[in-house]
Amino acid sequence: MARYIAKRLLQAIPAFLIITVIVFLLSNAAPGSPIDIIKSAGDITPEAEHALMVQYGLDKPVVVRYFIWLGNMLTGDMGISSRTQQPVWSLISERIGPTLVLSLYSLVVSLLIAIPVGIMAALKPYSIWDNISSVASFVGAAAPNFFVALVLVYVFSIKLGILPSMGMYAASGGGGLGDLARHLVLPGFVMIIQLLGTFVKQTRGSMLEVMNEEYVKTARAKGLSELRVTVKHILRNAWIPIVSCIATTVPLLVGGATVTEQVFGWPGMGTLLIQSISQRDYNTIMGITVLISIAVLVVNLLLDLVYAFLDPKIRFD
Amino acid sequence: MKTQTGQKKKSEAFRNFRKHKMAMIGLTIIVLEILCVLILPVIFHLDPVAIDRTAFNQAPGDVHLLGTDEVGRDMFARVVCGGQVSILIGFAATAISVLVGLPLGLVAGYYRGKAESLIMRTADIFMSFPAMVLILVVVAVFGSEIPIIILLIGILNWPAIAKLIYGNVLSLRGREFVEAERAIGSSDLKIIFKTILPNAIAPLWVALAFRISSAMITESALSFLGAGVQPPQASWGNIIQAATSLAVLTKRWWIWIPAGVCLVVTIVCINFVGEGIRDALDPKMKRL
Repeated sequence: MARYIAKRLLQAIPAFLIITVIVFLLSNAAPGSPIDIIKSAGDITPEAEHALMVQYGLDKPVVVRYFIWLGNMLTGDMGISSRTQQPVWSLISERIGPTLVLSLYSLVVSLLIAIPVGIMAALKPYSIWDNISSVASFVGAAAPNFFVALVLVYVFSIKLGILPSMGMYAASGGGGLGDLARHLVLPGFVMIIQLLGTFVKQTRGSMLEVMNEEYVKTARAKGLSELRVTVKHILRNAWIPIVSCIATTVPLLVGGATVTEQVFGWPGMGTLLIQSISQRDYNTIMGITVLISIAVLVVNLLLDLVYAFLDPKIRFD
Repeated sequence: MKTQTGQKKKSEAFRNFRKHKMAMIGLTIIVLEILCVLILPVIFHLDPVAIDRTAFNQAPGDVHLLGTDEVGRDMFARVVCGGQVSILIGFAATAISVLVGLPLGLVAGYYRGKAESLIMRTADIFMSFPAMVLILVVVAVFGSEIPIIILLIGILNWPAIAKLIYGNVLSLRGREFVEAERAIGSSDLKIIFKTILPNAIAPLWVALAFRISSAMITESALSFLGAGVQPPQASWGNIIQAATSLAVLTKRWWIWIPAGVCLVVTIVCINFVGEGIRDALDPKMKRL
């Protein structure tokens, strides 16, 4: 198993480097470097320009600059936001919590719904569960999340007036867990319908695959109860592809959170990213992107570990 | 012999597709829609950016079929011309994904070895990172002209196509008819394009439909966030953006609902066509 983990770690590093190289090159291509700004203020001599280049480290080769930049990023030195004049890291760090709350809540709830529905759909073909699972995967693939969000706000916040549509907590007092739960309902729903389809389809598919295996027939032939066969023999093996499927939904989760946060004014990284883009605040944009790529990497590695643990073929390797 | 069975398979697939009611309805609606967004602007001289100074925020009526927005632009013209842009981006971006993904998938599956691991690992990296975020960042630096958006969505979607083709080529390359082709000394190019590609391409048709609809969702989400098609040019996504204003959301349904309905209907129809193609090509797969 140690070998497997080491291998996954080694594979993850190039992925991280490639994403950060892309981000670094983009930030270099972005207009408005410090020197451009000073230059635009008035003519400067070539010597002064060179001195400035040295001061900002721009005289070094691009590879060296990349590693300096990466080092700074990883130690939390992400520069100053041109929008608020605050350190980028302090802007981002206060947005991490809300984004995690929204994403984890949506992930957990959609798994809690999708797994039982997917299992039932596989065990009882052509039943109501089967229909629910096809509708869920169809809707998940066809619903543009921002439009769903607007319709929900229109119906539940404006027409019915029963659920809040803005932010994480009510502006007036409160701020307890109940308040947060109420604010989570609508944005959570938007994210959940997107994830649900993928999870239901995957659960049902991997159940069906395992159900046709010889060892399941053997277990039945031995006279084991249906429940025991389902839990101990089918589910035990069907779990594995479901876990790896969670990793593939991480991009969906992050992208979905960006749009959802924006519609519901959720104070997370998504809204910060959109704000920074509209104000051309490059330092913040790059900081968020690097952080997201680290998060994606960590989640993938964690899921790999779970995967390795669940799959005896890897565990005892 | 081979072409004969191929022909038979094809006509059978067409027959199956025609029997798929939802897919036929979906296809009809999409074709009508494409005709509408192409022809209506010409016939009625629709101008999505023309401003009627006598009508701001007007409800649907005789002069403006779907009303006007806050600067007096005709919403019918905007929805129709926005449809042109949204549909164009969906199809063009998918074409680019195929252009990039198909050859890479073929090479990885046929030659295996170093090319395979390089291409497939790169695909994994692309797939693990949220495309939405990357597109937002690139657009922030390079601007959001329509060709840039098409290129970005297209390029970031190549791994899905490449993986699909790769999987098929992998299962085909050891088959007898490929071996036979190799044994008679055909060149790699001939084997790839004449023997493997025609047999590996069927699942691509299914994927195409879902790629087009997902590219359209990405574009509309980008435009909705203000990082896609820029006003005054219309796209369904940036039309719907108006509804982030409470006044539009609550009091002027005609500004955002029609574009939203068009977007949802289009995506649903394209997905129905995709399901129809999938069932037609492989009736056994219907339940999976």
